[in-house]
Amino acid sequence: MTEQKTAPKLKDAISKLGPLLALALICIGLGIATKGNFFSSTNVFNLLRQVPIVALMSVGMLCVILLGGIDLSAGSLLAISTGVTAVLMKKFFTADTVFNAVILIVICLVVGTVAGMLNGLLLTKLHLPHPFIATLGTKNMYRGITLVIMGSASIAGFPKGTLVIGTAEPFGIPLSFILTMVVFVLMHVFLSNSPIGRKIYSFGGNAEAARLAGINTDRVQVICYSLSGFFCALAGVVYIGRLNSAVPLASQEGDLDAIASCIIGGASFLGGKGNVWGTLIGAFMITVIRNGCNLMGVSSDLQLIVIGAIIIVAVFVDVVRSRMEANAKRLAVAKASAAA
Amino acid sequence: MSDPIFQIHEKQKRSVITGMKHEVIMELKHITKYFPGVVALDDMSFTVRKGTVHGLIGENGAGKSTLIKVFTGVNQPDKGEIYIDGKQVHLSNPMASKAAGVGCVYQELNIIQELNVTDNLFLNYYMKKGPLCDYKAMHKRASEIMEELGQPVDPHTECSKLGLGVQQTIEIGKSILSDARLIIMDEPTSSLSESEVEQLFKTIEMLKEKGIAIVFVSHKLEEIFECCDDITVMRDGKWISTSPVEEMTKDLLISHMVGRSLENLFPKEIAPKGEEMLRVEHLNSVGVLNDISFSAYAGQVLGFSGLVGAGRTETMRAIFGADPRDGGEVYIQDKKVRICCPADAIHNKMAFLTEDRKGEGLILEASVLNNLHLATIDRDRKGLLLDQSKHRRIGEENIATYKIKTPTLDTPVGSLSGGNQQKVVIGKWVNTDADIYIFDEPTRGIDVGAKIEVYHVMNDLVRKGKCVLMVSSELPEILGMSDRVIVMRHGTIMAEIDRDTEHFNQEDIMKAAWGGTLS
Repeated sequence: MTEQKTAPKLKDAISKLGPLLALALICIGLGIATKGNFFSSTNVFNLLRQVPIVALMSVGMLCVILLGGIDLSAGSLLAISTGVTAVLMKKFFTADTVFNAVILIVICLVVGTVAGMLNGLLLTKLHLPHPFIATLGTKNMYRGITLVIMGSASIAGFPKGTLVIGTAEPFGIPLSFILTMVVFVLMHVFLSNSPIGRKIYSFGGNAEAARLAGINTDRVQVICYSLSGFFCALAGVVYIGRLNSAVPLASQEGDLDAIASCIIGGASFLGGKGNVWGTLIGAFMITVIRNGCNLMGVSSDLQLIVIGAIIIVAVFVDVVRSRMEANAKRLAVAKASAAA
Repeated sequence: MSDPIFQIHEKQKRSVITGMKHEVIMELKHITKYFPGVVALDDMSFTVRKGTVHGLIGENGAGKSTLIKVFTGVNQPDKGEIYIDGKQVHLSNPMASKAAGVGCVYQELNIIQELNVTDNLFLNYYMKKGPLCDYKAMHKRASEIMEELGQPVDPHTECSKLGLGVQQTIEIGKSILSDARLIIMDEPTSSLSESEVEQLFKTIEMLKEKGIAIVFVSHKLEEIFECCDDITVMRDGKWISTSPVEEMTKDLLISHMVGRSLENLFPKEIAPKGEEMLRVEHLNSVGVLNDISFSAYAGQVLGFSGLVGAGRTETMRAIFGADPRDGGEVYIQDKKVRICCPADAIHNKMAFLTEDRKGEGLILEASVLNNLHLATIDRDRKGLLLDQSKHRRIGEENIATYKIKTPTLDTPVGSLSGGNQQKVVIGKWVNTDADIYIFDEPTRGIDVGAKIEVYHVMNDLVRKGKCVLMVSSELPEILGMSDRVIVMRHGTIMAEIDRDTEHFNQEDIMKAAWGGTLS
């Protein structure tokens, strides 16, 4: 009895460790290719500073992908929330006080959440046929609005307090990284153990069955798109800290990186399948490859090719692995019945 | 070992013994197939004779679908041999099976709704004139084939505009076009109306005359007896019996299927009739429902009979708030309630087991546990989070109560058999502790044993003073389980018949369903 229970758990752990192993191999490979530079303490801390923005956007994207949806506007959500915050800062909150710092962070988060919520409302209230369309529209609109209000120029001069999340390094560890870890733990509990989390997976698995079971499916969708907006804005707060300014063309590749992290991390594009830890590994993978390529002086053009290939390889490995698992189970039955 | 000459001798010998007139076209020998967790086929043998209809019957999970997939080359057996015309063949993929002369009409039709009849018939096997498709020739051949099969249609018609019977004929036509000599029909009548079934039987007769053999897989015993020449029963992936239809009786067939004899297919218990639980007044939905009014009582099963498309499911969906409606009021225990979405209905203690189990009832890749709690996610909480231990406890109870056969609570529900999936859906709704249960085709596509367990659940519910509304297309089920029957036609209620009145019989219900009046 106990044996039966532990065996699948062990297998589970191994299958979950697979992507982690791949990440480790890539790191070792980059370590060798850069003659150890990759593992220098400076670079490792650089990595920890680079991961949070991708990771935070990815965890929001995961909520949407679990629905079977997609949020193409993630990068623009980051831009508009930081952009609006910067413009309001210039107008009303230039003084370097704690109050201003906090209010600006709150503004940023609220703008992102509301803009994300709008995606959800477009989808559910206007009955646009697929989130691809709603978020493709807002992707352009949000970016355009950002460029207009910022006059196409970056804005600097935030209160010091606003920059803390992106700059502080207690005990030598970037605060943004600690924040990211806390967010992932909370989101793990939220998705796997809260009623709304269950509803998200249910909707992604079979939207009609969820609706007929009395789940308010519109609300679940709006919540997920709002979460995506919220986490893009949180990534935006980190972004402002790291650059000490808001940039209208920030995070143009952000949405695709976030989608890639989820997919590399094993989330299904059809919805209903995926988890935060896979997504975190996916985010690390993308960051590590970018970072390694930069160390080796690989041009950004070539980086695109590498990242594209990694996405395809990662999903392919996942496909092969689940096929092999099914086959192994089949052979186990054959063996058992032959013995009996 | 597998000397073909020896095989032929053996077959001829047997033909003489059993007096079979027709030569064997296809033979499966000692087929064994393993799947994750189960032995799907266990030393299964099966022989089909030319120009005959061979009924294949067995409970859900008996291995019929897997056997069909071996025929069609979708699954390859792990052990065993396949012979066509006495020659051993390897059906390593669907193409090989097709080339060997095996055609299949699946329960779920593979018709592309947006394309016309010709495009569907010739899908991927277009007749060509040079590099282009020769539509003139294809249209001509298409209308010939459809005419021959007894469903003359304009080959230019888009398939979405055609009934399921015609669409099914297109599938049969596809097999004819690929020169199939053996056609497998998997539950071919499950979504057809009575007249469409009759037409199907005519088509089958015609195919027989052409010397085509048919494997007819069905749950409906009446149909098996009506159209088959031989009957093979499977159970637990094993061969149980094969005999000519004349030597088989219904009781014998059922006992072969379930491995025990069944005294009564409908264990109906009459409970005391209680207060009015649900009243529907003037329910309207333009073009679909026409002034539907009725009452349902505690302690009773109210059956809804009628032909396919009579508006029974639509009535239920409108009451439950699953579809919008154009008017009408719903009263529960004499109180008017506002129901505009399923959540409202559930809040008012209604439950709705839909006819489409996979599409609307279950999340197939989610676990048994999560499916059992799909309608009660918000109820059992520990603070902000789910009360997992309580969920598991209720889940274990559900498994015991409804005899759900599943390895664990965490098994994906999609890997269970149809009957067990249905029990999960029932568990999901009973867990909501509703007062009014709508069961839409509750036993469609599930085996005899599971059917009886569903009927026991209905008995339990009415005994506890709940109210059950049951939509069913099977008259024996309506007569067997209902306390009262409402007969519908074209979105209108035609008759209301009590169990203890003279009209409570098959003929009168059919008469009302066809628009006749009862004296």
